[in-house]
Amino acid sequence: MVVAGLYLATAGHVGSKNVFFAGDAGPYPVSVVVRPPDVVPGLAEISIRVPGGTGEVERVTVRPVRWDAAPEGGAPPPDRALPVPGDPELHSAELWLMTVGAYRIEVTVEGSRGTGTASVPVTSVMLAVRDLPPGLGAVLLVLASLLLAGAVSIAGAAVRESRLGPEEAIRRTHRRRGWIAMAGAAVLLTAAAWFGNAWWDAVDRGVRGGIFKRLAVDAEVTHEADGSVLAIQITDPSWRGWNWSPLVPDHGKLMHLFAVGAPGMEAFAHLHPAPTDAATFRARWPDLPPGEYRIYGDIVHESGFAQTVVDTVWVDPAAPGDAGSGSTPEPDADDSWWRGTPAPAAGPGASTTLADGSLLEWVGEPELRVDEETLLSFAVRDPAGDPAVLQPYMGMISHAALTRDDGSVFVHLHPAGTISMGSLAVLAPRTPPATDGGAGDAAESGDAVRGLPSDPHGRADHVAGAAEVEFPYAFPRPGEYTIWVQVKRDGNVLTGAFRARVGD
Amino acid sequence: MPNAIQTSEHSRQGATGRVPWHLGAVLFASTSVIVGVIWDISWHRTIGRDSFWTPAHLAIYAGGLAAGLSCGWLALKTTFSGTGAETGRSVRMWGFRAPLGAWVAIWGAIAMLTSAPFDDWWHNAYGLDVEILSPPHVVLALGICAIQFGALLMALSWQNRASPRAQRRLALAYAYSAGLLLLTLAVLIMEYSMPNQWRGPAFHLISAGLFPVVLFAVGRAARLRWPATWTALVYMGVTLVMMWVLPLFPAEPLLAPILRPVDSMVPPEFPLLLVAPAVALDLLLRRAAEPGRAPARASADWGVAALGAVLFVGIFGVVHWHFGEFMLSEAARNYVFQGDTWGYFRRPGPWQHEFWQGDRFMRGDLPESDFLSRAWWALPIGFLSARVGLWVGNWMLAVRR
Repeated sequence: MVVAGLYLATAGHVGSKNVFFAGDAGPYPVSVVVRPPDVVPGLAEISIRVPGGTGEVERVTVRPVRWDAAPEGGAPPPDRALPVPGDPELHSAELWLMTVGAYRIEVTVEGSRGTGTASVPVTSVMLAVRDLPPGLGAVLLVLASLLLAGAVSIAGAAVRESRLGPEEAIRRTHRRRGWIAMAGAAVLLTAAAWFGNAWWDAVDRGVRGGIFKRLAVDAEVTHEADGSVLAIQITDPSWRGWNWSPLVPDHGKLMHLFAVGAPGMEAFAHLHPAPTDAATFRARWPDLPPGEYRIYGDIVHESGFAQTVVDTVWVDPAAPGDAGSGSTPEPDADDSWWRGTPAPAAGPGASTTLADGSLLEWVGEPELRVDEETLLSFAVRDPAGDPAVLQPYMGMISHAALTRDDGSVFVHLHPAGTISMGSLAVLAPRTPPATDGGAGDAAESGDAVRGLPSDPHGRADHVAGAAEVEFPYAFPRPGEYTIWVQVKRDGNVLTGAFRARVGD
Repeated sequence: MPNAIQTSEHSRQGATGRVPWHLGAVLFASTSVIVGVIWDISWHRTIGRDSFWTPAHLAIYAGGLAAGLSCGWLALKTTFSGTGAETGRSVRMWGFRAPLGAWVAIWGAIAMLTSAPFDDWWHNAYGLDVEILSPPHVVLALGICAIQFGALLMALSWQNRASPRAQRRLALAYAYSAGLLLLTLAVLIMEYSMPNQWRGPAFHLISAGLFPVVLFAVGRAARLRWPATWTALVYMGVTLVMMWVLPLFPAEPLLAPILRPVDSMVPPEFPLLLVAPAVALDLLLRRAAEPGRAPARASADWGVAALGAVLFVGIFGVVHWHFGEFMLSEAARNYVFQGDTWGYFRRPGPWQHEFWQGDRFMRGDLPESDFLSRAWWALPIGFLSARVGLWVGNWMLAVRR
């Protein structure tokens, strides 16, 4: 199957359509992977891992709920996720996503510890149109030719001999009329086939027109008297029309913007531009070297639909003469940036020294493979070599961003996975769904995700004070990547960068 | 004396009036496919999620198989070991021999077979469709119509060869096959013929184009006293049976978003009251010529078509204009009429109890003058449809193979 434009057409993030989630379904920790379909309506594949759930989990169900579904009866009954043979912790299911837009997938785990539900936000978009495989095209062409020829022959036979008596011979006039009928049928059927083909083309154009396109933006860095400014304007005409919707904050910010210094990956910024009007966002541009930057802005629409807007800017060196007359916005307290050289050793095992002298070490599986689920794990040690005490940074114990060198993949990760916390806040049920607690067990539900300071199970290694952070992910393409990991210590945001090679 | 033997064999088979097994098979096929289609539409309005193996799909495949296998066997039998009588009621195609209707039904089975991989790919490429009309579905619909038309032609040729004594049963088989074809046409225009659309011009224009051609053709060619009426009754009867049986089965939607509660199979809409114009057409056709005969003067059919169009468009229009009001009222919201039943994916709203001028999004009553200024086109369209129907009917009078 040829899948066109798959790597460019994803809504949230860039080139990475699968959703990774780590959190809790009541009393059970779960990690969920959702692989949305390329075409909508289509089937999403869902796999649910319940670590340590062997023998305790009786039933896992999944259910898609669209953002505008009525609280009661707006979603179908849940589907059972079946255990995957050979892996007692893993369950899998397929779910229909019928429309484009924001959904939450409710994952419910039942077992000896009771019942609990986790909600995973998923943005359903049309990503691609599949082309007709040549083999099938040939088969259809043969059948269509057979049908056309058959219809012409039937018309001829009908006129030539269907009205003859049992012993009546076919005369010349009968044959002549038969030929005329066949000619007429051939003309009519050719016209019908032409019309059918035009119709098919029109449907194809319509569906291709519905393939998701991220909002077009125009980013620019200008130098003012008191500093530099990054301005992002949404220039997409649809933003002024049908496609406008209020944005909702994610970690308290309307836009999370990442700037990646291309091609050397020696500069990185995580900024939070503030809106100045309905289509413009501005942030103070940090002290980073001039050059080309790839800009990725994560936004969440009112429905919970998350998308990443993309642009490239060229930053000129600041010269005293080109100071504009505009003013520079105050920097956001959570803005952070980094310049340096990514730790050269490719992949886990590498370590890098952070700005305050502490050490960030990549631990875990030594090899990264495409489409293989992995936990990207990092340990932080203070300058004395002891496990460092971390503070939450914008509600999370850590943030990470990774990009493929050619820019075809960009993902903003949390310990909770690739999900947008803004989407989750919108889509999570306002009241916990009814749950059916086991005997004597208090049923738990809600939307606990890993890495939040309020992690209800207080797993020491995932909450504030921990010295190790981990991000669930699977790389969508082989190649060279750079990963930036951000943690907060003693009130300072610290960024470390690693190179990574992902094999086939 | 081979000719004499053939003739006596021929008249003997015709005289019994027994429905031959292959005619029974194609009539079963014709019934099975359309019952399957109505069931499948109900499935999509109720449950939403389906697979290759739903019972509705199986009914459609069973029809295709029954038609393809029985007619395919008939073609092989007639070609390689056909008796003189069997050869004498067959037409030749690509070196093989079979009755014309069998060839049409075989073509339909191949068209259905073609639509399967086409439709499967279509869903993978463009997403599961929720509309009835898509190119692969049209190929399927052509196949279904061909199977039904093939059944009709086979019943027709048996009727035309039968002795007067045996004719009635075969003529009823012919009217039955025509009623099923009418039903398929009605299903195809379902999205344009909801009771809410009965006061919009489009419904009347489409109906005037589609239904007279069948009613006039059968009305002319069937050797019955009330051929068009029987045909309309078959259409209405099968629809009513489906409409009354389906809601007896509990079911629930399995696809999000579910915009209204549904707890049993959603039935098809109440059938169109085609029987009303059909009675008038039968009376008209009987005045023009004996059942099963063309009028003495061929040109008389122009007048029959003109008067028939006025009768059809007038009676059909007036009946549905008023019956539509009833169907949208509280009085129709019960088991008998199944008014106001909708699929789970239709968001509830006042639109369900209102007339639509065009589609669901253009609501409100169209003033009668506006309606008439557009709906009068139904008369010329109905005239053309009726005239074509009479030509087809006259041609059918003599189909014997």
